[in-house]
Amino acid sequence: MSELVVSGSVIAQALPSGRPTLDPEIKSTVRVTDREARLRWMVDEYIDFVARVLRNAGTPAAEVDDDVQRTFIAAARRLDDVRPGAERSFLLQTALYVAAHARRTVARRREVAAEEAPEQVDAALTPEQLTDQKRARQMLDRVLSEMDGDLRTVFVLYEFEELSMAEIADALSIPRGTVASRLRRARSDFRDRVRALGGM
Amino acid sequence: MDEPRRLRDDAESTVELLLLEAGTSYKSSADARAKTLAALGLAGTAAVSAGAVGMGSSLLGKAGAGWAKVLLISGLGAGVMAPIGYVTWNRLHSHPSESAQIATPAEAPKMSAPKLVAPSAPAEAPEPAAAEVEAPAVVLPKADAKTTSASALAAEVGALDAARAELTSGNPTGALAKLDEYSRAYPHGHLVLEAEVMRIDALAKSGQTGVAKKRAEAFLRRHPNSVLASRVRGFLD
Repeated sequence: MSELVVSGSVIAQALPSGRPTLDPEIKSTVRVTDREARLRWMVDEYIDFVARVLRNAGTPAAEVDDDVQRTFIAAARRLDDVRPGAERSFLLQTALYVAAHARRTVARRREVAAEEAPEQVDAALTPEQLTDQKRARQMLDRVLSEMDGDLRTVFVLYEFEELSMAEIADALSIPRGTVASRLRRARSDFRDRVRALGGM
Repeated sequence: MDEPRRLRDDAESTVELLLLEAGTSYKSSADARAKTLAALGLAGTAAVSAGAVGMGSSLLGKAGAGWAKVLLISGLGAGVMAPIGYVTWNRLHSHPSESAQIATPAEAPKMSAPKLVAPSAPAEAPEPAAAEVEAPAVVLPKADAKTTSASALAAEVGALDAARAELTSGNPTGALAKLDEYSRAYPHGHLVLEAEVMRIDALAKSGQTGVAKKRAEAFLRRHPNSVLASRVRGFLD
């Protein structure tokens, strides 16, 4: 197991320029403080983003808090490798990884939940039935869970996080053309499923 | 690149719009922030001896070293994943018997956002064995703990902050008194494990090293997979 090495030079690069030189002992305190401040800032700034990505990537509602913590703990371990300005992108990739893993470990529970799900979509849904936010969320979960995983990821990042196709390509390490074609297919698939829900 | 309008701006039905809004409006739960800060060792509770090199090395860096189960995932491509099993503190609180293995990405290129495996990657991991988590001996919050409001949690955090303030100002005896107050006020608190860790620290700093050691050992027996365990191990070293 590799030890996480707290690299002074990496932190130093993360600091604003022009910081006065400090003796090593004080510098170590500053480093800790800066780490903590940065982490706190990341939590405050991105906790909703992380929770939303996790949820839309398939983490069950009851597991989101746990997965949010996992994501930030992973981020904390790697903080020195996160370029200033790349925090959101790093958290996004970590959250997608965590969500993918969580899907495996809770698969059984989710199957049970699906069996117990009271929603019958035989009858056409009306907008009134969906104004209940909880219900809308359940139906969205259902639609997303039926989508192909690759398409779903691109879909939620584009439609919910409003990432550009270039940003999605970077985050997923796939060619931009692939993002474009997945998005096209995902939108068409999503619309078909929603039309079926609404009985249109 | 040609960027199509978002579906939300172009919804073809109200049903579609409502579903899309459900996706964009999701927010973290009321106490997610406090829980996350606590898990990171950043809540008032956990900043035990801030002199430790942050959570990076003291809390998390050594996390894998002594843990019963380390789950290795292979075949994930160039970026080798070395996941580490851990239990988040609140999982211990709320689901003491569940599997608590988790994989976190551990290796990535320096100084760049890591290329982690996207959910689409056909990554196959061995089924993690259920973590052998003993029923915590520390008093656990009641089953309805999740309904605790953020303000109640904030009050709890505040009570532990008071103890930490004593500890960091070099008054471990005062910290122990504050911790006693905390325990009386929140016998079923969300942060009982954090409080116990701080108590161990305070006992050690007040010279009661024997008691501190005993409590640390007991903590590790009961909560070997807690994210706090590595810090407790630090007290034993």
